[in-house]
Amino acid sequence: MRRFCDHHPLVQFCYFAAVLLTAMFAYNPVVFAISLLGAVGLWLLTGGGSLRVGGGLLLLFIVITAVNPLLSHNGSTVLFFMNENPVTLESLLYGANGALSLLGVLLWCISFSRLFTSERIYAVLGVTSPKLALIFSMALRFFPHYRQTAKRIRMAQRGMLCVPQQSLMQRIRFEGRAFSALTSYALENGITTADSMEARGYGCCRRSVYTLFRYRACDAVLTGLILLCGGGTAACLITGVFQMTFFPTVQKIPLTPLSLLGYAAFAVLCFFPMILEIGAYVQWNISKSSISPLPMPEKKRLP
Amino acid sequence: MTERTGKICARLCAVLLGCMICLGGTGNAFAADSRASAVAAEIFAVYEGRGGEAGINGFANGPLSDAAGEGAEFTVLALRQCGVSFDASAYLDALHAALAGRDRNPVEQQRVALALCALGEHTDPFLTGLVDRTFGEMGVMSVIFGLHCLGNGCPSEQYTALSAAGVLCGLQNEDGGFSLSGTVSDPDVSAMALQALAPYQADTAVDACIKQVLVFLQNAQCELGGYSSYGAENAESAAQVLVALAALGIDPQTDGRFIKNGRCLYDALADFACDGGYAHLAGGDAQEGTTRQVFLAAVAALRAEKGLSPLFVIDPPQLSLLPASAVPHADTETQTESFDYRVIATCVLLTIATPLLLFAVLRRLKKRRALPLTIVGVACLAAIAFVWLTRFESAEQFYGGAQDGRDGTVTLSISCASILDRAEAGVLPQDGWILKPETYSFSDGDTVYTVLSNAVRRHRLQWETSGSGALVYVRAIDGLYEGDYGELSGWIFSVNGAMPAYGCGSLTVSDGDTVEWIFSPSLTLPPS
Repeated sequence: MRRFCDHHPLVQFCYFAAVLLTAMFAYNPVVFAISLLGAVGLWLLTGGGSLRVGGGLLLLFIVITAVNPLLSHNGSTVLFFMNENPVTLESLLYGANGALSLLGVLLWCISFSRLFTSERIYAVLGVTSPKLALIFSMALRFFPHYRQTAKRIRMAQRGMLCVPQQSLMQRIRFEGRAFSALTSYALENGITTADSMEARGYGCCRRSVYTLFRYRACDAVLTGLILLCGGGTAACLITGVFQMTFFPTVQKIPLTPLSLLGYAAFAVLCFFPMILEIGAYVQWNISKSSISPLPMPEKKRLP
Repeated sequence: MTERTGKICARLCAVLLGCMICLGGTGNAFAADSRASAVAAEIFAVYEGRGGEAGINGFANGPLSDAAGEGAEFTVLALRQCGVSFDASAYLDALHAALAGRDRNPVEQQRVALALCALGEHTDPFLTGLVDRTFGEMGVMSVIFGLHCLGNGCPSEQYTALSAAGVLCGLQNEDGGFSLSGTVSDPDVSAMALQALAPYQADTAVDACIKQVLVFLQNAQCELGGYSSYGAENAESAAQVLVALAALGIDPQTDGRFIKNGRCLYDALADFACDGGYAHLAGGDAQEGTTRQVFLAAVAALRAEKGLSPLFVIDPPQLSLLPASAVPHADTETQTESFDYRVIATCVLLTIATPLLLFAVLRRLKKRRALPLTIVGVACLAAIAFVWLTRFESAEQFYGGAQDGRDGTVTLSISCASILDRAEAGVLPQDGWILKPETYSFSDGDTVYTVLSNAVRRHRLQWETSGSGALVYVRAIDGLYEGDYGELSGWIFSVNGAMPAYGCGSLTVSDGDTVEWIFSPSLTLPPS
């Protein structure tokens, strides 16, 4: 069993495309709940996050749920009236549903950015246009790169005793100086990069592509599984099997045999990376214990 | 904190408390136009209270329908005759079911006929041949109510109203009054006879009879201003005399003939008032029948004050005769309730904000950072402003808050016919009417928006508006939103067929206007 993060980037790309599209467009609480559970699982397995991030996401959920009924007044179950406009239960539930979707999508995107490193982007895009892939990965690199540089500039300024002062004007001046330094650096960096690329022969002939990744049999199996499950959920999405209306009254969650099949397909789609990761972990630990430990050389004592 | 800041805090609190007490002191003044309207409003409030959350409609669907055919008829008559509009369908169904149940005696049949007339059911098959089969079949009462039926257009082959009045006059006793049996007259029966005879005062024979009955009633009045029947002074007799006097246009408060020892009929009736209605005997508990008769009397007097026909000559007014302060009964409660939660929220937020802000000021004075403290403090103050600028109401308070005006009526309808062919089945009403044309009363200064608000409240519709005052804009009615059927689709309104160049919040309505709210796919009026 191979870990999900070790599979071919194309598999992962297909996977996230299928999951994200469903998690965005199926307006159905069951689908969103499955998506959120899967997203949380993968988020934790790919490194998780601090308690603060989790708290922030929960706060986001609460705020969206609470604000939606204050802005949209559709629905028939009136909780109370605010400035002669009804605040309805339907609107509240609609907001909760939307917040669920947003949380799921956010967590999927975090996992996506963690798994999909620039070389993977390059591998996927490089198949169609190596040039575009290069520009894309370079452009993406700028965000973290400049953030780090800005941090470094600030530290250098502090080192030179240009401590940010209490006064607003002084602080603006300090930030302005740091920004100006960053801009000059960025311009210079562009020129150096261009020079460096030219020196390495960029643009002299057609660009070829080299990837570290090989498309193996297990990748094909996984792609097949994604296409099957993703196709199933997409079919449910397009034919409206997942569809439920919130206004004027909340419809019952669709629980027809067909929709149950759809939920199951989506659940398989959402949970199999977790299963792969856990399976690979368990397998590794089992096989590790079955290897007879080699006689280790005695540690030499330092004189 | 120093002693000085403590003092300042204490003073601030004192000022705040003072403000709250002053604001709380503004009570609700109940000003009634006359004693009759006060009594009517009081009993109407009792009826509304028995209807629960749905008010008078709840009363009509509940207690009134339960008593259909068993005494509710006069309540229906009185409600219609004082201009209260309510949903009578449940009552009518119950009445027809009750009529199918058991045979009614002639007087009961005549009462049912009067209720049907009051509800405008003149074509009900129950009314055909009614007078001929009941008139005079049960003594003087069947003559009296038969005469009422004839006066309200019940068909008869044997009698005309005048001939029937002649029959009634013939039953008069020697002492000038009327009685169920024997020669000693009873004020109750005499007053009822007077009510029946009043519309035919133009006839000389009837007029002579009426004068004699009046003399009898004048003499029969007790020392305390009331009347006694079967040896006991009671509320019903006083109420019946009041109805009779109202029918003749006599004001018992000013006519010296009916004031004894400075006490008039209203004073006498007041002796029987008790919690939740009126009692048969002074000091007793409220009784359904007594309360109903006092309500009839109050409505009759109210109609006389407004120059309308006698109680039993059915001609319901378009606008409610009840004082305006009595109809939106829940409104005064709304204000006190909302006042309470606002004060509580303000107190809580102030107790958070004040120390935070004071602390922030102290820190600033010591040249230390206080931005987070200030932000939280200002946010609390903003929350107070939000609480005071936003009006929170429960669903019942909102829907029960429809205002009855007394300056005219407007016909209002809400239609979505223009997009009916594009809507999915079952989403919109099939005939294209969200609200069929219906009349709504209004007060001077009411706008198209106010009338729509009353319609929405009366029919418990969903709606969404934005803005307020003159700039208010209607975004949705009954779940149908602007933009639902194309970019330019939305709610527009026309007054008397033309689209005005004013917003619904600034255009005042005038009597007899026809306001149409139309969902238009192109923001233009559909071709008529």
